[in-house]
Amino acid sequence: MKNGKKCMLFAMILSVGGAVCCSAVAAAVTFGDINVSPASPAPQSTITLSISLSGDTPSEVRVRVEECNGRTGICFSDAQNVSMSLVSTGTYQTSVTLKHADATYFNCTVVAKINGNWVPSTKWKVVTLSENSNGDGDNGNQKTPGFELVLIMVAIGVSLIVTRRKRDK
Amino acid sequence: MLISGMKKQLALLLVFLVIFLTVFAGCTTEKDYSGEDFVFTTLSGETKNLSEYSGKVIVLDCMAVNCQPCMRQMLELKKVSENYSRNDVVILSIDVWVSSGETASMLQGVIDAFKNQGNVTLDWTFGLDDSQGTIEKIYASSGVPTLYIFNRKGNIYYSHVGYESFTELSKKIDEALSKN
Repeated sequence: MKNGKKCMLFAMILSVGGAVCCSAVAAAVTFGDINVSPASPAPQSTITLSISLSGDTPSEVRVRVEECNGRTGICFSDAQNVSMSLVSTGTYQTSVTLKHADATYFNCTVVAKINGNWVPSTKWKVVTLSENSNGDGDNGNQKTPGFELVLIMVAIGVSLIVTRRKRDK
Repeated sequence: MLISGMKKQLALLLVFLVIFLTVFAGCTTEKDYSGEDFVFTTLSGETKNLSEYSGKVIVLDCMAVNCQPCMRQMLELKKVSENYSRNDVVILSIDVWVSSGETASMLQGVIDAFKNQGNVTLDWTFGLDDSQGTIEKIYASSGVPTLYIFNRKGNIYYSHVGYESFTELSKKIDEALSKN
């Protein structure tokens, strides 16, 4: 009987000890909201991303930025996976230059490496891009052959004028 | 003199026409060429080849979990699933962003979310690319979703980069079915 009680006590101590050990090993990190500056950036601009983390200190924090075009319904394959730097206690930051002139929004998610394991954030941020108004000749969608059409029309016009003049001479 | 001038003008117009047609060759293709075979892993862990499905029209959906248009595409594919017999049309949704960290559990999470939150059962074959992104490189290098329709012989009949409606998909599926 006494042996039975001892066994139960031993098992309880073991299970409590095990639970304490497990909770110590499990990665505990809380992700804050992802902040984007400027709040509504233009396509192909450089943005600053920051996030506050609390709990275990990660050995590395990375942000993944996926650019998409809502009009054509595509997310581009060349997503950027950028390492974030610790700028103040618990705050990580990085700059990313957006790649696609025809992107209308981007998604970003953050992962933190804790005890050798990558822990993903359950939150993700979708940022709508502003219209590109820098007047650098970008037509908004490089796959749309509108610009080429103008060139062709001009070329046809010029060639017709030249041939008419030659004929008149 | 006048005739040679007209000939020149005609030749110029022909050149412009060729350039015009080349530029306006659409973003979608409607060709009939052999599709490269690939291996993928199903959610149950089985290894499958694309060629195993030849004899049926295949709708290949190269998708990713972290892609909103891909989620909208699921609803269009659901209509395909409901409107065509499995003896004729097979749908394969392959997650091609495995090399970027997407996993089988994430993909299963999408299927479960459609079922639990939207009461939509995604009742076709789902699979994953390898960690090198082999399928992504061959079939979805521009982005996701990228859709392909293979005819019964295993040749690519149609491809489209980006979201595609059921109306457009069904037209192409019908054509692929009728041409066999």
